[in-house]
Amino acid sequence: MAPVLTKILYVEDDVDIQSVAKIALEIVGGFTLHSCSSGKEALGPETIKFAPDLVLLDVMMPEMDGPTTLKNLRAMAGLEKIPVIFMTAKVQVSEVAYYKSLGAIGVIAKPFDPMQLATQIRQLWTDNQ
Amino acid sequence: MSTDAEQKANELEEAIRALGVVFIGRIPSALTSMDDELVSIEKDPQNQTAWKTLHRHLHSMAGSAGTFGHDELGDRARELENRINDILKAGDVTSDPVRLAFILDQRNFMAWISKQYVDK
Repeated sequence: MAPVLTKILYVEDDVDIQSVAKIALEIVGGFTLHSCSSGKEALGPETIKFAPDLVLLDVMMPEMDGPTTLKNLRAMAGLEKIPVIFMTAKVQVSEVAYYKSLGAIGVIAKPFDPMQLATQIRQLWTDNQ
Repeated sequence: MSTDAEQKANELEEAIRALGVVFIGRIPSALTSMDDELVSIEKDPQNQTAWKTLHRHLHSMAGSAGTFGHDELGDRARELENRINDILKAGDVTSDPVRLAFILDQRNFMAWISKQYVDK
């Protein structure tokens, strides 16, 4: 039986987008979220304690971008194979192929539809099982 | 009687509406910040920090505007964000036509935002 998706580590530096996604995923999706405002914050001990099932990761962030954050997350104990979904406005075929080459199970285009966000994530999760 | 899903959708819609109002309320300070960076770029086109900070403001505005349904604002901010990407990638900060065209369009964009969202 496929594992159930319940806990999501969400990394997004933009406060507006983070607020909308948090509400969408918690209220509509029923997920438990641990939100971080930077890649650096996501690499803290809270992430290990939270033990996410999935990482939802913004691509363009200052200081540490999404791909670098992913690389560092995967170096952490217990997160070596954590499924990741990138969120980005850059969704041309070559760009999506690049994110997938990094190990992402999918890419969600920005701006996203808050009403559909949880469904999109569930679908990508299911497709990956 | 509404279903649980409908109630959640209504709750989400209401929360997004409230956040959207906050976003609009922050536009004047975003304009001031963008103007500061643009002035820095005009004074010193080689100021990479100013280019990157302006890019950051545009990126943030594009993302938030789109999320809150202000599509034209989001699209226009995204277009300028992409132009900064191209300028920085090509190392074109000293190219007068490219830089001046960008500055002019950025100023027009800011004037448009003021008219649409601040002066009303």
